[in-house]
Amino acid sequence: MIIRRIISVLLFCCSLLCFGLGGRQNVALAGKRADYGFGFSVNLINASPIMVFSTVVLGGFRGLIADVLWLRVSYMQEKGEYFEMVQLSNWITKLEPGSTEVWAYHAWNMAYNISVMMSDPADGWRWIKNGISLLRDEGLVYNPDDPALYRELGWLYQNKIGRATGASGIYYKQMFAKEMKGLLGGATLDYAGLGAEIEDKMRDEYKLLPEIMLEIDVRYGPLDWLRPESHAVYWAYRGKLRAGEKGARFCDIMIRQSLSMLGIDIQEK
Amino acid sequence: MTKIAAIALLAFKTAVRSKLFVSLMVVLAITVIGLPLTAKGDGTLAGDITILLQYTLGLAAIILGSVVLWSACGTIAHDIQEKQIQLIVTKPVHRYQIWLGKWFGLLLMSAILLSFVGVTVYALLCWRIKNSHADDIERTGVYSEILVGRKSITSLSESFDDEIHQRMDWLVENDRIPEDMPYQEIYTKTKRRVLSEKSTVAPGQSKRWVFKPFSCGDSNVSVYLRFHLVSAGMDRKTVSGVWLVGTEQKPDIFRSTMDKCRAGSHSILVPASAIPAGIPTVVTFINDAGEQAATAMFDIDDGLKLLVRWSGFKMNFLRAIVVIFFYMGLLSAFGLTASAVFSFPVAVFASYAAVVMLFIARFVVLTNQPIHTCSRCLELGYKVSEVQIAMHKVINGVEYFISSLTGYDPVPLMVNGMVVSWEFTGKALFLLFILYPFSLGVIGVYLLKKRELALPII
Repeated sequence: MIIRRIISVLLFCCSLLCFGLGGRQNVALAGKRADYGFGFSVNLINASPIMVFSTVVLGGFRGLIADVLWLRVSYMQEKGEYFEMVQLSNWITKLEPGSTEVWAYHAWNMAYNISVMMSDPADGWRWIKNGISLLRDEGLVYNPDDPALYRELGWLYQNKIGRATGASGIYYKQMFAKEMKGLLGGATLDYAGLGAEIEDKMRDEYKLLPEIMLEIDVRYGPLDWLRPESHAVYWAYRGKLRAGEKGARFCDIMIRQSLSMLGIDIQEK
Repeated sequence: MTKIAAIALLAFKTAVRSKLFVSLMVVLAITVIGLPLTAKGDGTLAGDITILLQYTLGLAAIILGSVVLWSACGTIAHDIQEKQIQLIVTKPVHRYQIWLGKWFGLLLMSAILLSFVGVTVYALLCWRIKNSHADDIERTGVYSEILVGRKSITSLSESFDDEIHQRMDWLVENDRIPEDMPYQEIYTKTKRRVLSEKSTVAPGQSKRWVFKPFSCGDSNVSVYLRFHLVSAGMDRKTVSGVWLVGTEQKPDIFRSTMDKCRAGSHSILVPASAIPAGIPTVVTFINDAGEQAATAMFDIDDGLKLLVRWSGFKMNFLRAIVVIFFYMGLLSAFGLTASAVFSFPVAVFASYAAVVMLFIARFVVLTNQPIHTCSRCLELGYKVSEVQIAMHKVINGVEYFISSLTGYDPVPLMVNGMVVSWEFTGKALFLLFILYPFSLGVIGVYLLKKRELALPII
């Protein structure tokens, strides 16, 4: 009986020791994960309870689940079945919310790869909007300080819509201009006369902040806000505001390129 | 029969009393109602409906199946552990009556829960369609392509074996094959190459597919011609051409122009009047000629199909729910048999491990390559050992067994607007609800008979 008790106490002490050692290792590992930008040690801003659940409770299994979902994305895409793509992309990005590459890949996949598979330009336009929505409405909400995501979003406006050619390209530009005209009323903005309802819609639905748009108009414009290149300037400008020295460079390049496409001479500004 | 009914009722009452039934109903309600509200489609009504059917029914079946297996594992094992079984076995009740009673009890629980899932999903589906902002064209598309039970008629397959062997002869004679390359690999690759060539239509050329005679039933019924174009690498050129549907004598009863079609699955609506009754239907594709024209490549694995409306959605949905119920019956039988021989934790572990292994084995058997023992391969110097042949037969057997268990998932069929036919339901009934549960029942009853149910307590 006594021997059993001694063994129990010893085992208890051993488990405590293991916990202690594990805890010490965990601090170092968490630091390394944060350094490399991996995993759940990344501090998520604006994270919903479900997001916290998926990142903390699932722990290392998130990667496995994301892999399975990613395989399904590839399989469905190969079969030409796109119904689930938005949901699967949403889940994958939620499982890896701190990874810029994952957000960028899925937005690009929808806006570029899937949209070109559509025979009807209206369907293609819907997929471009799905890609934009993934970055703008979710990726940037969870990673508001990541300039690379702003650049990726700006690229969709600059390249996918702005530089699209052929009948689909014309359709995308027309649809974009129509949507923006419905929202803003015209190519240039009357900032003083913006109604509360429009301003709320701009902020909540399109994530367009009038104060930033005014800043851009004063600095480079006035810009034609019915053109996608102006929106590329807007997102690159917002990325630049969040970026350090290194991140600002590619946002600067995007601003220059987009202004050039709008026919604005950057040297004069 | 009264004894079985009494035990079944007792098993059901125990499940209800243990709050399992109510908790499961709450979980299922959250899943079935909550998931479609949070899941995102691709922005179309068809996408929403597909997600609703696939995710809710699929997830509800997984949850229900897991819990049914869990409950079944505990049913007899708990009775033995808590010695309640002694009250039953001391009465004039045969062991098979105990097993059957428990099984029917679990089936009753599954039936009620599955009915709840079915009614809720159907109600949600109606609500989603009613409240959708989709236009009439989109709604019509949903009703004719998803909310329907269509039968798929594939074209008559042609045999290219002679051509494959001729090609292989040429490759061997010209030393184009590495010496260490196995025969199966050469055959498979050559076959795919030949099939790819046969599925390709160059600009200005045409290709014909012949379908065996079938009836559309009603002259107002629409038939869909479905084809899958594949893209040649990075070249995403569009394909234009003309589709003709008719007979050998009159191949152009119906004509449809295809303009700038991209890679992917496409459907063309064909009037039933273009489908001849009693004679083979011939479908022809004529690729556009000219400098801008591109080669059309049809998917060799997903061939050309004619989709004919076979039943309405309500009956299709009902049959799908019934097939899911058969799966619950199989899982209950499996869990009960495990609980007849093991204690509860061991039964749970063994049952879940078996189910997981079954799903993993599905992927393992995919690697099974066909073995060729023809005289031609012997002439070419490729020999297959007896062991290889025996192993191949074993894997084939395993593959058949696995497909007989997992090949009756009705959800993918329903989501693609394909019919869950009476034949399919009947086969599922025989295999999943009669043959396998009966076999498991026999084993379970035998083991229960052999098991010591009242061990002396020291």
